[in-house]
Order: sequence, then C-alpha cells, then structure tokens
Amino acid sequence: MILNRQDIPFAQSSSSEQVPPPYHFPNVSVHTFVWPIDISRVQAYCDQNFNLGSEEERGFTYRPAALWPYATLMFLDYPVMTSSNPYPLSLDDEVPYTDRGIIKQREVFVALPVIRFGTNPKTLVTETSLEWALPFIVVNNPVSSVCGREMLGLGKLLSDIDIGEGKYHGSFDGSVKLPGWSSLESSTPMEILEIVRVQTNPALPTFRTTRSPKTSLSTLFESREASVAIEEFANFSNFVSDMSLGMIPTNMRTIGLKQYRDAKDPERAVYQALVTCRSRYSNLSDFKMYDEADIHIQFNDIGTFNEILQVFLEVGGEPSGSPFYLQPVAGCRFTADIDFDQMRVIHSFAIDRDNGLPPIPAQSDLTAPWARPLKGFFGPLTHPKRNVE
Amino acid sequence: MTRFVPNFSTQQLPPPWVSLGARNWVFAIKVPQKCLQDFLDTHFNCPAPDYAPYFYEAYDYPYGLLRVTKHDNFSSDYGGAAGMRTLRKIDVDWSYPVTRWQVSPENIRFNPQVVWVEPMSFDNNSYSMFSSREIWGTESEMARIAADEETDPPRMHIDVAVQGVKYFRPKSISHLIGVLHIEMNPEVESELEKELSKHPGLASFVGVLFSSVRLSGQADFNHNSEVNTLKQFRDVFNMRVAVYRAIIASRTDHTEVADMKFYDGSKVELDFMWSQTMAEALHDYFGFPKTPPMQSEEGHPGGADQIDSKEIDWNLPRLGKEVVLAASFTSNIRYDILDTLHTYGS
Repeated sequence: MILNRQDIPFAQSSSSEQVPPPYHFPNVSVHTFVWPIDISRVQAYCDQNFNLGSEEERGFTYRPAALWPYATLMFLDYPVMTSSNPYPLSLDDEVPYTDRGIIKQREVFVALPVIRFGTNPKTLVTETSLEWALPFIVVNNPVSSVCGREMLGLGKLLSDIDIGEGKYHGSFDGSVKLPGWSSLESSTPMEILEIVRVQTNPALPTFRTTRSPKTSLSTLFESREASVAIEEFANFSNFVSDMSLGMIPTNMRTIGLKQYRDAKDPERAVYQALVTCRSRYSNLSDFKMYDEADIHIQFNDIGTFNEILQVFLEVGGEPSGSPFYLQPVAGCRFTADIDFDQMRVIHSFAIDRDNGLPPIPAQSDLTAPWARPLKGFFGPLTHPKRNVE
Repeated sequence: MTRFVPNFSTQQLPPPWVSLGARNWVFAIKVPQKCLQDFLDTHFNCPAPDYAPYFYEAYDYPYGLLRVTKHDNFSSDYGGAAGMRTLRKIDVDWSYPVTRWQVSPENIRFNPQVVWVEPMSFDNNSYSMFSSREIWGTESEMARIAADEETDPPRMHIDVAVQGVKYFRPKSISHLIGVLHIEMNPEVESELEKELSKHPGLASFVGVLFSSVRLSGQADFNHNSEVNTLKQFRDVFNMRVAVYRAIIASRTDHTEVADMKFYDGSKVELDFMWSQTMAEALHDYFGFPKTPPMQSEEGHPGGADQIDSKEIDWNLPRLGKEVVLAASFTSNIRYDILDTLHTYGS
C-alpha cells in the first residue's frame, strides 16, 4: 500500500494491537434468540447515534426496519479467528498477519435491523440499505475489543462470556459478565456483574418441552426436509435470511458510529463517521431450533447496565435493581463460517476544530451495496478512493 | 462544536482521574540511549505529513522507569464529581523524561521543557484501558497483573501477562503469556545517596524524577510532571493511515507522598519473558536482541503459573535486566489533560 502525500501516517508500534482486515472465522458456533422490540426505542437509538445533524446536510435517515420489528441476541463461539490480509504492515521482513497464529474468541451482541433511506427520489432508490445496528456488543478477547473500537466503530466491551450446555444434553446455557457498578451512588466500587443469562431446554426435537412445539414458529423447521433445505440454501446463496425469517442474518452489514473524544474536552468529537462492515455467513450446518417457550432470558437491570437495556428492552429510565425476564419468539443454533470484510466509511461527519484549524467537511459514500457495481460502471464513487473496491 | 455522542460503550472515565492512596513501585533501568531517542523520532519528531512545532530529545543519561501502580480507589473527577465510578486496578508502564524543545518556523529550537513519555503501558482494567487509549492516547495494553507485598516471608512480587504467542506461526494459538516478572525483598532497604554513587548520571535522572512529585508538607509544586502522548486512530480500510493523529499533553501529579523507601537495585530480580508478540517492544524499548540468546533460561523463576486464577504460560526464554535503583511509596495521584499540543494533517 502506498501512502498519498496528504495521508496522515499511523505510527505503528507493537502496542498498536490492531490486526488488519479482512478476517476469516471458520466453524463458528452460533446461538440466536429473537424477541419483539418497541421500534420507537430503535428510532431513538438511530436518532442518537446515526441521524446526527440535519437530514439535509447528511442526505440520509436511519429508521427501524418496520417489517422486522425484532431484536436478535447472538452468542458466538469462534474456535479460530485469523486475518486473511496477506500483507505485512511494512515492506521489511515482518511476518504477514495471516501467519501470526490464531485467536479464539467468544462474542455476544444484540442486533437491531435498521434501514438507511436516501432523502430524495434518486437516493431513495440507490442509497437505501438494510443494515444492523449493534448497540450492545461484548467480546472476551482484548485484541478484538481494541480492534473493533478503534478501527470498525463497534463499541466492543471486554467481558467474561460463558457458553456451554445446560442441565440437559443438547441444551444451551450462556451468560455475560461485565465490569459495572451495581449502584449509581458515589463511591460504589466496580464489580464484575452478570448482565445477561440465557438458558434453554434441548434443541428440537426433544421430549423436554413445556408445550407442543407444533404451536411455535419452530414447527416450520421441524421436519428434516426443511432443515436440509435451509442448509442447502445457505450453501448455494444467501437467501437463507429470508427462509429463516431473519433469524440467521447470513449477509449482515453492520453499521457503527466510529468516533473519538477530544482529550481536553471529552464532550467534543475529533472524529465522527459511520462505518459499515459485512459479516458473511456461509457453510451453515447443524441448524436446530429451540422451543421458544423453553428459552429463558434474563437481563439484570441494575446500576450502570440500565442505560444500555433501555435501547432494546421495556425497562424504565432508572434501574429497577431486579432481573428483567424476556420471552423470545424464536431461538436457534447453527454452525457457520463467517467472513468479515468490506469495511467502508459511508459518511464522515463534519468536524469543527479549535486553534484556528479549518473545519473538516462532511463526506459521503452512501451507495447501497447492490447499486455499487452500476455506479462504479457509470461513474466514479464519491468518497476517497481507498473505499473503492 | 461537533458533539461526541455518549453511549454505553464510551462512558469510560473521562478525565481528570483521581487515585487515592495508590501504592507505587518504581524501578530505574539502564537502556541504550538509542532506544530512548528512536521512540521520540518515530512518534514525535517525524513528519505526519506536517511537522509538529516541537522537537523531543532524550537525555544523555540512559535511564528510564518501570512503574507499577496499584490503585484501590481510582475514579473520574470529571465535572468535579470524584468518587463516581470508582474502580480498582493495577497499571505498569515504561516511561522516561525527555527534553521537549519548541521549534520556530525558522527551525530554531527554544524554550526547553522536561516532559515524560510512556512508550509501553499495561492495565488490568478494561474501562481505564479504553480511556487511556481513546482519550489520552496512551497505547495501553490489556494485561493480567499481580502485584503483591507479602510479609511472611517478606517478598514483593509483580507478574504481568498478556494475550500473545511464543512464535508467529500459522497454527500458533493466542493465549496468556508472561511478559515480565519482578521480585525483591522489601525489608532490605538502602540509602539513596549510596545507590546514586554507584551509577554515573543516576543522580541527575533522580533529580528530574523528584521534581515531578510533591512530598508531604512540600509547598512548592514543580512542573516537571507533564506527560506527552501520541494519540492516533487508524483508518478503517488502510492500516497505515491515521484518521486522527495529535500530540496530547497531560499531567500526572503525585501528592501526599508517604512511606518512601529505596532499595539496592542489584537486589531486585527483573526478568522480561521473550515471545515474538513482545519481541519488538523488548528490542525497541529495552535494547534486547530480536531473537533470544541460545543459553536463555526459561520459565518463571518463582514457579508461578496463575494470575487472577487464569493459567499463564511462562514457558518462555527469560531475559534478565539490571535494575539500578528501586523505590516504593504511597501517594495520591491526579491525572489531568492539559491540551492538544498539535493536530497533524492541518
């Protein structure tokens, strides 16, 4: 990679921690749980994090995906994470990142489907795109958390994540413990607190159900034929997200607000941009449903956790101090390969600066993924050329 | 003003920070002067693409401080609300004082000032680690850290471990590996004058060190506690490009310093553990060879294997480093941001 004269070089050191994208994650074990969400909360999240400034200035608006008013909680167990970027950072004898070994990771996030709408008749067609906001995302690997926060605009927190089998063979028991404060009172010490726990009975078919699965959504996938069909669809194409009613976001384009504080005035941003990345799921296998009646999800509405729970749960504006029990409408598990690529800054917000420095103007590259080949054919993309593929 | 959007993942301890009753151990280490200057040249003195109006110069005396600080009451004082979001943590950093010159447009250096730089830092609390990186610009690395003072038998013992691999190989699996180990008997004290006489230039170095702390009852406040960091963030697509790069000035003020003790450095056992993950830092900051000597001993000398109940791989070549002086004390510490000295790309 050659630097342009105007580029600001990053001073690389061993403490930089970040591993260059794209990434390849084979054989990931995924557990997914879906529940209905109040879309006014999603809209509030979009307005706070994505719809910054005026609609006229930015040229787009994020809204909840009204056709899919559900939140998705995912537990992922990555046995192998590796960079698939073949290049070392410099031209000397550095070992390429692909050859530096692998890391293992567990990750948990809540995904909310949102739609970016263009704000005029033309952009409404070419720049409207379905994306997934991740208001809550935690990992148990520090390199991954730093990488996600500093490069990708994903607010990954570091946590203890347990993923395993519950009381019965074939069941699921997973939990997340985060550093937090059980009370907002002064001098309350930080503790490692459980924020969420999910327990299920064995995956279907099983005799350990509290009701007939034929009354649940899982009936759709009960037959062996349907299960095979889903896996075949996944292997041939990415239509499985439609087949599974969105429970398996096989081609998941995430949207995150990448931003950094000013050091002197922490309420001021020195950089603010919307970044999208693609998580592409392939080679799906071992797809199984849980009976949603036997899925028990418990979020702890305590202290500092209340702030994030307000985004996707019907909790009040103050911590209740007690668990919030959630009844999902569906749950499933599967194994897949995941490729994480196509990182792109789609909009960098204008930055006002001090010390007589000129403001940094806003820039956009909002073309929807499906329209990019057409736009690339008929004319240049508008954002800095490093985003062009 | 472009407002930062606060959310759950970015609420980590805005500055200033306050630490009450922090326990400090400092270890003065001699390193090649080139190591000190090379870091300054690659992080502060080079064009990016413009030059900052400063020039950073290492002192002739080739010493730096390995500092270990155990915080039992650490919180943000942002908005004058100290005590909110109190936490406990241990941090370890490698730092040294340098001369920062102002440089005129005619390339004339003037107004020299003593500031500290921190090329390497470890933290065992993710909240303060994220804040260090994202607000202050310190490239702090998440670590498992144990720092214990045992009385029977008397033993001060520090272990640091990070996620990494012994060798960069496609099938290597990242896991917790040892980074450094320090051990000493805290009851064998020494006198400062006696220790200073053993090492040329150490007295000057300690003079700068003392001018950055205020002892109990001391009224005058010296201004040698400024720390400069390079705050930078990568572009999402091009790893070699920064979307933001600036020099940040902050202060680390120790007050109410008490229970200060000095130790004979030769009685301190300091070992860095070699791994390919750490090789670059050990070479660049401390002057170790990039590959370990064939006759290196392996393993933790004390036979430790766990920190915070987590298994640590100490089966790594051990590289001993001479400590020239050690000290311990208790203090209150306040960390303040002073200003952004220079924003690159303007």
